[in-house]
Amino acid sequence: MAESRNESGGTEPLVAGESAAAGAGDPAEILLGVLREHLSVQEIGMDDRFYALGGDSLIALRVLNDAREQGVPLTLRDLMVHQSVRAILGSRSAAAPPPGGGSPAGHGPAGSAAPFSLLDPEDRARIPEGVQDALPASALQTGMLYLCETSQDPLLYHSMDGWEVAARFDESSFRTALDALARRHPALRTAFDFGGLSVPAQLVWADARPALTVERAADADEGDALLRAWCDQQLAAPIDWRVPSLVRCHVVALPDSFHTVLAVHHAVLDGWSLSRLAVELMTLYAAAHDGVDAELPALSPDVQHDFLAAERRAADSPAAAAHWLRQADAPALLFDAAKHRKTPDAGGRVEFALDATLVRALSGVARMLGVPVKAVALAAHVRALGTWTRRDHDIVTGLVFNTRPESAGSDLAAGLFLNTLPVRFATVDATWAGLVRAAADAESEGAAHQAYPQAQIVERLGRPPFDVTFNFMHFHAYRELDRLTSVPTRGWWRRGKPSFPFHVNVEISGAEGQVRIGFDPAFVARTSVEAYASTLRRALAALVANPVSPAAPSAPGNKGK
Amino acid sequence: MTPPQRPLFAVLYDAGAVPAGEVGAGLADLGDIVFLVPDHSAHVTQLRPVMELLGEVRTLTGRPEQDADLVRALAPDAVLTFCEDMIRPAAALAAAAGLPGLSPETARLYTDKGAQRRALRAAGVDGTAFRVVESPEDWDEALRLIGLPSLAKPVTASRSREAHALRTPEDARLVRARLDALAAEGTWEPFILEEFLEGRASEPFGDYVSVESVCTPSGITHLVLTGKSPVVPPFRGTGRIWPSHLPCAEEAEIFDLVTRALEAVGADHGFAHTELKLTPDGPRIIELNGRLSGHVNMMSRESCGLDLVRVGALLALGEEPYLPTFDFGGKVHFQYNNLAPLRPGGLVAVHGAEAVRELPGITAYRNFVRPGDDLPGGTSTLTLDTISGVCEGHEGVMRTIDAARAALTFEFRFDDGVHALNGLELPLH
Repeated sequence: MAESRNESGGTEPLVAGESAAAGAGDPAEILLGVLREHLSVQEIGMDDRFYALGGDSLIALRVLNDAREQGVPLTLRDLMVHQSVRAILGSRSAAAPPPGGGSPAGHGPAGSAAPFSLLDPEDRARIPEGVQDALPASALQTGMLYLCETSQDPLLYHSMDGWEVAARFDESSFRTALDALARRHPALRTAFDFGGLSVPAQLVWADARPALTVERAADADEGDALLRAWCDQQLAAPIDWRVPSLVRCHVVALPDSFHTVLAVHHAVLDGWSLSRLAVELMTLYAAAHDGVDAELPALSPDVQHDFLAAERRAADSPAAAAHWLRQADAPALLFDAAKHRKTPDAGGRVEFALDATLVRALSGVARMLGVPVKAVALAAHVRALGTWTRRDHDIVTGLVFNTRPESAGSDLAAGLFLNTLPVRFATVDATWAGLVRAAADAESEGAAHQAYPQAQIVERLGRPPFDVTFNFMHFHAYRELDRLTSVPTRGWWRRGKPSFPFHVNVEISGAEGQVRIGFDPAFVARTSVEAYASTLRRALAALVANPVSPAAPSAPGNKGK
Repeated sequence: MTPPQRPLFAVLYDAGAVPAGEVGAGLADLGDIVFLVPDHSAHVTQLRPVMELLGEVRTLTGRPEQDADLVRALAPDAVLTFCEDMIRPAAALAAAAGLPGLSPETARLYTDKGAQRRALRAAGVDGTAFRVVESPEDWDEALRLIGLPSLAKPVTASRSREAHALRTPEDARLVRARLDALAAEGTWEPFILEEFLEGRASEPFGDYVSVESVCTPSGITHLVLTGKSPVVPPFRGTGRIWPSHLPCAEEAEIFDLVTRALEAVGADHGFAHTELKLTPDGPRIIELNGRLSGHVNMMSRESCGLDLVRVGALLALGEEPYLPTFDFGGKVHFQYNNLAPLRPGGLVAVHGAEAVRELPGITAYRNFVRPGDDLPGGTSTLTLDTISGVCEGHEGVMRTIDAARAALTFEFRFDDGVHALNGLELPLH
């Protein structure tokens, strides 16, 4: 308990806002007050745990009733599972507004979904003809496009998803499918306007369509060469983000098969969306080819609006600001301030495969502990960072949060719904199970504030809030491809370049997985990244070998117990 | 998207190894709960409001056919229990619903300590001399065959209720009188009289250990060998230490013995909690229990972030969670329970709780009994509290526990007035 109350020396001025902002009616203060009363313990901190302070289920009932009377919709499960006030408020059920409470006026789904509703009225008069909706650009989009302009790196945020179809190319059906896909998803018709309106904006054009180019090859070698040439040529020039569409499609048709590439600007699509688009494109193509209805589920028109409304709320939230500053305000893990003056050029790659046995074991550990597989992988990453940097406390990593709104059908929407935010591990010397749980808690506590613009943390800190980022991807959408028997696909690949100097991606696809580490050699040497990769590999092995053992990567050359 | 259907867990519940709140926490993310409770249980009456917030509560009749009909109508995805008295009904109801569970025969061998001794002897796992005393008239013959020192306990023993050590003829006479009194009260139940397993010198720790195991159709995994703090009279356990102080070779010998014992009773489902005496000639089985040990779920949650209720639920769903032996990396975790006095009375006050929480090595202090609560007295183990902590090695464990005990003062109301007892004095009362 004492440990959790100790904030590091430099933290005080930054987190002072947490209590200063907390007035009467603040859920944290209410819960702390109720707990103090019923546990008869004078000093209770945000991280003190209900059971450790003498709580039991009967006391929990009294705490529950008092908290509810004071307007905090606590559940018994929240209290008994999450235990500390911080974890309870971070859990989704407790953070949700009370039933019937609804969202604050103007920010709820009902108010925000109408076209142009998130723009000032005078901006609406300046919207060009042919634009069917316009919204402010999100903080992440604005930051990305700003970096694109300043870096002049055409590779930056230029994502590609490619695959091969083992069937003869039907151009007419393909054009029909791509057209339907663009009509279905506003993100394929979106471009940006950073000068004409009072705020940087994204404009959704009614008739924009992704450019489609088709080339023909006589054999596989020629096909590969054409494909490579097209990709190289695309990547040599930046995508003009002012002109729709920011998505291009290229097909190289062989006599009995064809390659497809979707090249997109990351500012309009995240990885999940890109995989959904690829799957929907193939579904629509198969339907057009077979002359049947694709039967794609209807999309909600509200998702992008809801996301921006959530971002606005989070940006104005003192609790969110305090949360992220508390996560980030630790001594930098890897890079000094001078390094960060340069825009990262993370062209370096180190990769290793995760075999089916390991992937199955990671899922088994997650199932046993009741956490997402992402938390298991994050625990291994954080422990590897600690070992690699020889630091056993205050390990901060960036974590990619999925910021899709929880509205119905949001998983089907295409757009940029992610945010990379700092998570801080006070220690990494627990058991693996304890560290995995800490990782799950860190994400669920952060989830309440995940729409908070990262740029605001940078502004407050005066530096990036983390040196390393961690992204976990499990794109279930590809499973739907198995149903498309007339369009068998194979050889899926993806490339992209984010702006982080050192980013770790764990991707599970099917029964196997892959770790892909991207880095800027000007920030960190390849040999050092390889040492991290080797540590991560050993951490994953040690974790699954015995999840109830001290969190430590197995020694090099040691196959574990 | 339609969310996948949440499984329904039928939890046979009464006072036992895991309280209702912990059951709810462990199952929270997995599925929904219907608590199946016995009629006329004070514990159930007290905890009913908690259970009603966590799920549905249905009362069992105790009549197998009717209860089986109830469970079939509820159509749960899993049946489980953490309560000794519910092991047999849980096995029967799981079988009736066609769900994974203990076989009724294994459930019988777990809960009938006489039948269990016979099974262990038949399998050549343990040769402890014993006799089952079906009625008070059998007593003299049993005592003649087993001799002194010996141990008497009900065949359905749990929480050391009515466990009696017989070292002298006078002890034997007193126990006989007690059995006659039970018969006269109409509360007679069969007893087992068995050879007393003399422990070897193990101070400062207790001379016995337990093994917490997970059994599945594909094998038995021992999660941890639990060391103990010394018992208080007559045989009431006070504390658990992870890992035990025993060397690896002896741990392996004990795990092997427990595997053979569990195989002898056909254990292929759920948790097992096996107690063993450390005798000068090696480990000997005290008894097997077909459930989680008391307090162990919270200890597992506190020390390694693993919720054993969840593990039990996965087992009940027929899954095989991958669980190797716990490894604490040199740290030693412990829990100690102060026990209610043998004299009946009431708790007036507890002083020193906050001081205990501030002691080095102490991570939590929880009270289970509140001022104003009545305490029935007697030999059943009734825990007043739990002191939890962690040390860097075994040397500091009992010292840390004793420092915490010494920091506590309990005020009890007995028939001769209110007495303030220091934690260290409690075992004398």
